Amino acid sequence: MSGASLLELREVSRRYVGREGPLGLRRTAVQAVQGISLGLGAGQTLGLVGESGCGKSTLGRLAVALERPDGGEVRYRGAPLWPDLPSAFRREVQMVFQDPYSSLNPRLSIGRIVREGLDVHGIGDAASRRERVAEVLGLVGLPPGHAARYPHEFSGGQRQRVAIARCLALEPKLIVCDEPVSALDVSIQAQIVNLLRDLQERMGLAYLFISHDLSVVGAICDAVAVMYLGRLMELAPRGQLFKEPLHPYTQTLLSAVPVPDPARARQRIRLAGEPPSPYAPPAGCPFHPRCPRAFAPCPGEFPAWREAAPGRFVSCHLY
Amino acid sequence: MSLSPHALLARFLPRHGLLLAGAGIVAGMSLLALLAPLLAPYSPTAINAEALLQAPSWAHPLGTDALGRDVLSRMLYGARVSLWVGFVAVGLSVTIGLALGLMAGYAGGLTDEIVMRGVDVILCFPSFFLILAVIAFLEPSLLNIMIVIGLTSWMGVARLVRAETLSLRSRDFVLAARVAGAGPLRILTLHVLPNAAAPVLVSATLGVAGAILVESSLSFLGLGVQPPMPSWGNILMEGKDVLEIAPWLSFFPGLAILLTVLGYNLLGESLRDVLDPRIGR
Repeated sequence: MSGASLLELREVSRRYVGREGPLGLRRTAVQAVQGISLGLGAGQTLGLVGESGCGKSTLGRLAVALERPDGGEVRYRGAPLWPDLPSAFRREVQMVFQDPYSSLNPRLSIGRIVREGLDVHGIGDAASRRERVAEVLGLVGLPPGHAARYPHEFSGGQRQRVAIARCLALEPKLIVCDEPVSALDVSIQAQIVNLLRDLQERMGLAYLFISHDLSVVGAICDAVAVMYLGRLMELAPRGQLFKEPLHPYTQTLLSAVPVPDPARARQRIRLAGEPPSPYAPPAGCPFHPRCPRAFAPCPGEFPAWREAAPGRFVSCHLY
Repeated sequence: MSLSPHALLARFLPRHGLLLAGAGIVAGMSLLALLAPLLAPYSPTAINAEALLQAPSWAHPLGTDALGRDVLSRMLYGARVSLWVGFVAVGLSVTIGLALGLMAGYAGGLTDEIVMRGVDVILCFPSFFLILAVIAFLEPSLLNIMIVIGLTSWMGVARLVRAETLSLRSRDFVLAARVAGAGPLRILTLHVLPNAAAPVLVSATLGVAGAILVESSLSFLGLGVQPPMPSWGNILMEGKDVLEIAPWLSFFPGLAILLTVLGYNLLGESLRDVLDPRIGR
């Protein structure tokens, strides 16, 4: 991606260890994210797609330093996040969550919720904070007078606007959006996506946009990264990825996107079997047991991450 | 939307009758205790050698005891002791339980393990006998009783608060606060505590009933509030020796304890029912 990186992930891995069985003696581990390298420049939008449980939310949490990677490194403006966060990180990097019903504290007014970051960082005095709250509520299309109301008085779409306003209050440079529209009605989804795009233009925001919905990703992202079972499969500019996907997994995903044209015949690639358990991922390329184009080297080793064409990265033995 | 007060009551009463009954008993008892100096016809410690063990009459509505003291007056002052013990002991136990529960639930790991195993160990002691043993060593004053009851009853609150904290700390609004840079103290006081308050309130209400019962039991055994200061427990104790000739001496304090404990339990249980569907308010 672009040279001047805002956020950079280098060979990042995260595994979760659980204890099971009598006395918790048996250990089970899930490799949620494995060896992922990504970069995101200022003002850009990187989409992150993959099916449920592929580790995309974990990657989002690693990006906002809610989780610490146990391998590799996350850097913000060139400075590593661990062990000590860069000083501006908690102001400049914010997050929008999937479920707007659980991401707003039911006991606090909207104004209080939006103001929290300003309170935490001691930005401005009481009057200027009130002004700022009114300003960002206006930016997300809510009447500033609603600041005294409580979350339960709002609909899902409005709540998501409040969550976005909370991020904006701190004038962030990067917002990690973890499935920001998948809990909303389709008509509301478009409004929120348009709002995010509009805000990006006005404020020069960068987004890490996590979704399992390719049409939403197609509407907002500059580049798209595809994940499967904790691994990065492909990374490409949006247009190229949608027109000519390289990785067989990406091809399969794209063939499943509904086309709003009944006359156009679709060739859908159907996969056999179930997605493998993340507790026991297949050896080699994790996709090989279901891959229509798997061949000899696939079960043996994971294919290296390489640039197949300018700006296009892929992990597949075919390239 | 605009219902008359009467219609509101008609809608509220059938569903929350028990809540109202509990709140009524608790409010009534508290009022009687507060107004004891105004309501009591005699001094609670005034001995009257001319009126020993008198049955209830107009002069002494609840009769007199073996020293000729007016039972109604003693009961009213005894209510102050009971409620005072209930509130102070519960205040202490909720404070300790909240602090340890929040700490264990939020910090997790080793802190959690140490605090909760400590709770398990303390729960192994039969608390009433622990209190008896401690009071036997200390002077059995009102203050000591309140403190000892408080110190031996916080474990339930700690467990409750820990469980709530554990589930709240992974909620998205807590994560959002962390992303905005909020520290543990701010998260606990602003995001966790207000959302865990309802079950704590319920448990505290039930705790008052428990503390009143423990104080009465201690006083009945002579290790609680010391004569001549009246408490329902020691009135009851004095009554047991003359049960056959003066049953009112045992009957009225017993009834008062029963009613008060019932009131707090009704209030606590119905508060639980009202507050339980947590988010839908």
